[in-house]
Amino acid sequence: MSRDSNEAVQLRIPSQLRFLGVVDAVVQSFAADFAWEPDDVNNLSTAAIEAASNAMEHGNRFAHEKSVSLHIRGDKHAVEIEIEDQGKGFDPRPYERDLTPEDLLKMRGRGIFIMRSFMDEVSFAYVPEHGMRVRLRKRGSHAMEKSGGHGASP
Amino acid sequence: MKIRKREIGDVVVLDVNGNILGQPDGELFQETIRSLIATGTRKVLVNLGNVGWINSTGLGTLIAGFTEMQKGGGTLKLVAVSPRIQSVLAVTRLTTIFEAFQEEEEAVRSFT
Repeated sequence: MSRDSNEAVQLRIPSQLRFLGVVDAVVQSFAADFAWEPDDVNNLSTAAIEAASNAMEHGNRFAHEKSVSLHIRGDKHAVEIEIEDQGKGFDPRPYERDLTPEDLLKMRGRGIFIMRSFMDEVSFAYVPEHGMRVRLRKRGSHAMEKSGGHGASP
Repeated sequence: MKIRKREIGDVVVLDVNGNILGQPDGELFQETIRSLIATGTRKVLVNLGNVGWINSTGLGTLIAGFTEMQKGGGTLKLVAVSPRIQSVLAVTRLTTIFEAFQEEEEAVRSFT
């Protein structure tokens, strides 16, 4: 049965990379009934994994007592995911740029670029007494509409 | 993440199982590459057929393996890259450094 209403899922996971598999499973399940193009669902999930990885590593510094929260909501037209850590926040501006040829062989520094490339909207905000909150938003292209020549959904 | 080694002629195939995320996966991968270089291997094919997804730290792991192999005078290529991982490689332009193949036979042949 296809869902049209705006639903939400909340998730709180420890700051351990092995729980990123849970993020993937939940995001994939959330979008499963929306008939989006598989690439769109995968890209949404990849961006969420990237944001959660950053939250664990750079936000919470893998501290056992700190967790990462995800709030997923949306419908067949668009999905929004908020990822929040319990860290001290950071300035994302130095990372909000295109990759240059000099970046190609660097080991790090692609996370925000990947999020921005795969999402329609990405924003960062520091929430005092909580941590850094990353908001991802993606509009879905529907497989049926594409094959029927109607183009992407709004 | 687990890594299994196979040999096809002078090509070592590394079958990676699991997702490539960060530590300790990165250290395991680097250690595997270093030990291959130390024992004279110069042709490495990384099989990603059983890797569901990768994050940016995992990309760093592959890049570190690639540059380590290059410094050692060898080559590292990829095979069985899923569309999902291919998207990440493409958007980060890593398709310009990693030679990737769908079929193992074709990939092994490309080293000669």
